[in-house]
Amino acid sequence: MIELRHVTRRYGAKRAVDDVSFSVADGESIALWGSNGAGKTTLLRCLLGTTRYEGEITVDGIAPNRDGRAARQRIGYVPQTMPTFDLTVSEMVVLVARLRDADPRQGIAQLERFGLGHTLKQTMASLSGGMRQKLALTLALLGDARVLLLDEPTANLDAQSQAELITMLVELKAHGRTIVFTSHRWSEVRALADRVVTLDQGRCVGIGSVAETARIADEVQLRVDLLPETVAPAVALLREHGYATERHGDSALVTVDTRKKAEPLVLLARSRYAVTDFTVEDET
Amino acid sequence: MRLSTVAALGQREMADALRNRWFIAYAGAFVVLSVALALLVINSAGYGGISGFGRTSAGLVNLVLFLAPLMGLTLGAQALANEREQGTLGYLMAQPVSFLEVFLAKFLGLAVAIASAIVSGFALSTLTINALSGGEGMDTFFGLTGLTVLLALAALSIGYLISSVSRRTSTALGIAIVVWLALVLIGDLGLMGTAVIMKLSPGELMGLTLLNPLELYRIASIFLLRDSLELLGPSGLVAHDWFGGSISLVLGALLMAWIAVPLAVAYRTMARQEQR
Repeated sequence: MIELRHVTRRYGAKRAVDDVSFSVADGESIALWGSNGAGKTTLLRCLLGTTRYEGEITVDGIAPNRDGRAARQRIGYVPQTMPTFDLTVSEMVVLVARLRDADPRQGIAQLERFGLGHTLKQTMASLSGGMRQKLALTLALLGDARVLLLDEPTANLDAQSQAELITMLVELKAHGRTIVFTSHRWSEVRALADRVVTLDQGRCVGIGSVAETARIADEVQLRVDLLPETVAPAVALLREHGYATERHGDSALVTVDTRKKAEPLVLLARSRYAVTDFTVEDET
Repeated sequence: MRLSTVAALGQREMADALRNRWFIAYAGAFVVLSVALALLVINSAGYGGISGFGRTSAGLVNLVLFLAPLMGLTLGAQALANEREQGTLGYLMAQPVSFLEVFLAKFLGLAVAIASAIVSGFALSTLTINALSGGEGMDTFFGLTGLTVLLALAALSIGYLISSVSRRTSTALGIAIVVWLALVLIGDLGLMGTAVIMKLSPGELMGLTLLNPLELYRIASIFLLRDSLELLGPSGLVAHDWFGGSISLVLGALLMAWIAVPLAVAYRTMARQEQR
């Protein structure tokens, strides 16, 4: 059971997380939804106890800001991109197993289940993005962590790897793991979440079931590929016109009403920005 | 603090160091030059090997004064900044560990790796001399090995401090090189120039000298080799007046302070940043 009561994280005058309260039942899966800068990652860091916060958080009754080690012993963490340690896959499993007081054989067996048994002697640097995220999930499960925190785990994966990882997470949820994850993709939220916590500029602006989260259900993510030198001004233009837009490499990720998907494209074309390609990321 | 965590992370740090091309280059250069120096001394003294260890030690002091601080400073400067830049530090902190454990483990792992390289260099040159000219003066050699390890760890600690305030590895390395130059060249020549211009008294000169860990090492080595500081002139006599028979202890303690203080400041700085 995870509980957050009036959690606030300030950076000077700015509140990255502002008076957020909600709870997560054992075995429940919660999606943290919101644009970049909404406070999703900061909230995950508060749950891990790796950043200061005001208010109260408990993970199975343990406050991460008072006993971070005990809280993190219960939490498995999957970052957006698994950082590359100068180790082989098996060495990494052994290292994290030692830190988590777990049996490395458990990790090796999990890797076999994920189809990564052949990578044990490979360096982490030689793994593909999808393989690295599967490794991150394997490491997060070491020591039977009952709570999984995932920070946009599929953000940098291709479609097939995204689907594989989500399938694995759905299975883990079915086996009773508590999951808190952030995502930009509605399809993932729909597949994995029981409830959605919507954050906007650090504040919790809605908590509800997936179906109840009407704001999301009416919107899709439109990925617009642009020429590298035009991405920044194009993103600024879209924001000026009220579109929630984020930059992802050479693309603009635009949140748009499902019935008005063409509008941002028309706006960009009229302003003479060359759109090289576009994809509707999540059709609800 | 859990020792098993420190051991696990420390072992990883040592393994990382053994794969680090900078470390390999430094360790290789140190070992090769130490042995070369020993052979050179033996050849110049003939097979009688008069004062073989003493002469080799004197030569090694000059080698160490350049190489050991460079090794400690640059490896220390890379250590934390690189982890932060790669995102590996953030990942480790999401595990059931404390920042103190991660910080100490990294320092100890690197310290053991550096100490091993230094001991290997000294041991090989000792074996070379021992094989070719007998084992006289071994105590001096062991003392010098210990002093050199202390100097390298002081440099490592200063490197950690640089790393703790640097966002990027390249910046940290740049600062480390500048600090090395300042300690090796400017510290020495600058102090001489300052002494002449400011007309420093021998006491003031000695006081300023003791602020530089390299000079501490140089003075301690001279004391170890000659059992007196007369070679330093009036400043040496001042040091003798100040510390009497405890010179070795005082110099050793000052070198240890150069390890502890920068390390404590680096920890405090990094711990604050990590909680942001």
